[in-house]
Amino acid sequence: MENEIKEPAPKYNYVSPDEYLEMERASTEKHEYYNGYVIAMSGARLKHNQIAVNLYAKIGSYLDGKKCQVLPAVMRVATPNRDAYIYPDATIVCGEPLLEDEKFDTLLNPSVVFEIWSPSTQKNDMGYKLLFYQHIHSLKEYIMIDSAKRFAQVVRKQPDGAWRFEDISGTHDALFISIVNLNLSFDDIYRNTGL
Amino acid sequence: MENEVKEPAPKYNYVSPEEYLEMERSSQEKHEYYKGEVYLMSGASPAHNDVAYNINRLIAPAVHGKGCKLYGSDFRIHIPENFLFTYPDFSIVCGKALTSDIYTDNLTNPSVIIEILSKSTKNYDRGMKFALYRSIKTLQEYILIDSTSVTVETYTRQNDDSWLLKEFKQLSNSFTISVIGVTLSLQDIYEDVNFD
Repeated sequence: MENEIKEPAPKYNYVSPDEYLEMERASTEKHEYYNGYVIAMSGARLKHNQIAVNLYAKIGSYLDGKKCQVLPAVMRVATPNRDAYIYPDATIVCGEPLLEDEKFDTLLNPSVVFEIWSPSTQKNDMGYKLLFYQHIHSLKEYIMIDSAKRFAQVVRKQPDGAWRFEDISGTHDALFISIVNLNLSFDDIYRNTGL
Repeated sequence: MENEVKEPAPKYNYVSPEEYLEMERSSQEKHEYYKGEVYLMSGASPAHNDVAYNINRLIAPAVHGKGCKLYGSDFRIHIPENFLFTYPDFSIVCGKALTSDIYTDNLTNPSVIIEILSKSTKNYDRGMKFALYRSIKTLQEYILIDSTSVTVETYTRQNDDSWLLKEFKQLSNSFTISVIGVTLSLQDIYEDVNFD
């Protein structure tokens, strides 16, 4: 069939977490790390960037003077087993930030992470990224925001260890970040994007 | 960097659902269809097949008296809300099996879908595919059974249409498929399964 799409088998030599960090700290471009694979991050389009700025502005001003803070997309986050190093589009950390080493560039205890979907990243944000984020003990909420339409998916850790998946479409008008008790309206999230 | 993985740009000619179904009905292999693109579904490993065999022998007799049926991976389903066509490893239908008005050989009303995960499908089955399945209004439970480790995940629709994920990783654990009132232990599901 003409249109068959088959995943290529990547040429694979395992990269260790320390090798990844050494390369990454010397690199001008950002790469994420998953189980020995290093994946280059591509640049983000306008709507993606607008949504990111809206998140920082709204959450940042709301958290001013509170014990949680919002961090931007250059803050790297690591899983406890060191099997993933990820740059969430935004991160909320509460209390004292715990960092992996004396370079102070890798956060271990995010409470909330955000990923803004673009067509090329959506599938993996929903797939293996979710799985790795779920391994981070401190993580309470993983919020995914669509940059193509007014839509968000929230995955929330429950007190008994279960996870709740919520699909929030435009009709809901807002998504709730329970950790900081903030209702973020879709109007605020999508300001300037035309969505 | 040596290990950089880049997504390939697919060669893209839009395929209509009708074209897909025409090709698919005479095809030897199974393909999934989503948004104008056709995806080959790969064959299953021995472990995948072993797990499937266990599910069949554990569940098929149990649904019989409850007005439900267990279908295997030959029954194509269609989701009109997002236009997906795919073959879940197992679907459970209660009451009459409804097929699409337009595409009459496709099931539209499963109550339970069970997918057996392999290394290559885990990402998709847990993520994007689950999101597409959530659009099925009749779907109450989505169950993922890993064929590479002892892991079962159950996703259950709640009253507010959110979904609750519970994970089971011990052979001594059990979980219940409430739609058919059947409780399965991981010991039984993974009996005689040799991980690849």
